[in-house]
Amino acid sequence: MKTIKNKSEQSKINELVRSAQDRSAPAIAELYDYFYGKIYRYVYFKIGNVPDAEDLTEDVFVKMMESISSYQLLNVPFSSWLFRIAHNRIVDHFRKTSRKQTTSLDNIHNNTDDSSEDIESKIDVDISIKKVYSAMERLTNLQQEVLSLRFAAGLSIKETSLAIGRNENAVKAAQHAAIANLRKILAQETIT
Amino acid sequence: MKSDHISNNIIDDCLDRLSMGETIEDCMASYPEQGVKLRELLETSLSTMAAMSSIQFNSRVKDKSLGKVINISTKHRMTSSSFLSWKTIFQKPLFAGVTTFLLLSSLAFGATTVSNNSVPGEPLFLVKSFKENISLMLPQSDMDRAQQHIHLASVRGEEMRILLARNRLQATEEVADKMRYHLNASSGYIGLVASSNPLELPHSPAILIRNDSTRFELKSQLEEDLISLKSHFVSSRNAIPLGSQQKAELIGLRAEMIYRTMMSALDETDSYTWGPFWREEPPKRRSP
Repeated sequence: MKTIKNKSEQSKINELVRSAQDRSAPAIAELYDYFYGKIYRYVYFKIGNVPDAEDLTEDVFVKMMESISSYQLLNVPFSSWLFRIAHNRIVDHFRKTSRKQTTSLDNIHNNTDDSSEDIESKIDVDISIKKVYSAMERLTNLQQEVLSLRFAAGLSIKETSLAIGRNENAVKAAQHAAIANLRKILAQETIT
Repeated sequence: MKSDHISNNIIDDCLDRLSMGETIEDCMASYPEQGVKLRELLETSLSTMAAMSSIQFNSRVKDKSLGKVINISTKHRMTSSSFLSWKTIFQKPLFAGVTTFLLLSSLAFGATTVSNNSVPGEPLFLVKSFKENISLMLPQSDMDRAQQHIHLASVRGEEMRILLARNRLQATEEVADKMRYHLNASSGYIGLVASSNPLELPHSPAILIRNDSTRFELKSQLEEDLISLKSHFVSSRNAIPLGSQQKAELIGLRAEMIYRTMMSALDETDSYTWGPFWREEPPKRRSP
């Protein structure tokens, strides 16, 4: 997680956004490259399904390009704006499917490209992700949202608060409670 | 509540520091009073972060999606993006204000330009009349006012031609009266009272403009306007039914007569020699 964006990084993003608003393909590609992993991880943790997460991530960027002309730099950080789009797409997805899918995370390591990596290490990672995912399902919606944005997407407290429309203190409190609850849940699972 | 609030901030501070490369021990050193509880929370956070950030995406899918996003962006630019960008631009108050001003100005300019060819009875003639009245109210010298009235007389002449071509004789005659009004008004500003009525004889001497170049300038302007009026008027007159041509001829001759009267007066080199149809008087209004 890298939550603190320095000014040059933020101004670089703003510069890319301005160019993307002028439909500059290199700027769009750079923005896409910068945010793809963050959006994908966020969507994946909300959906729990690789094909849907890939489709929804693509939808988020398509929607981004359809609406980027109306985005104004001074209102909210671009990342908050983009994650609001992602959140709305996820809500739409659940509305269409009527329920939250709990598709297995078994195929997680199939997403990685490098097949030469240590299989054992991959399995360990898969188990960790699986445990975290199942533990997160027992958190409140707000706590899940905050942890997904903070840990999976790497947003700062301010960006998270603007993305979900809560004040920063509320986000900090939810973050604290989420971590404490997660600690309890994971500890119980270890004992059992 | 206070300690909870502080704990929230401590956790957040430590999470940020961990993300910047510091260790749990570094953070514990800053908050020794928080003890084991803080350590447990930070360990859980680290393992959760590690699990979440270890999720890998398929690069091929990512690259494929990028192509689609770029394609959509290009299509969007070709179709609706111009509308969206205009919408965005219009959300900026300064730009909206300037654009609105320019739009209204161009509409006003367009209306006044189009109204230049309007004749009495048409909606845009009101705009034309308004514009002419404004031009006469602007501060200017008597000579300029005289020239402006001569110009407006020529405008009336053009209207007469259009109305005659439409066989609107009554309206043509009314416009001819207005033309005479302008020429008389022009004469008034230069100390000359001209009349097309041969019974109205001069009754008192007056000061006539003595500047030869001014005389020449006005006379040339009148000559040009008269030539234009006659040529256009004759062509329009010939195009109307025979029954109306005689009356049209009369209207044209009256208009020509006042032009010629003024031109003859301006042609006099001796300011105290009166012609049959004009007299000289002090100008109605003098420049300040």
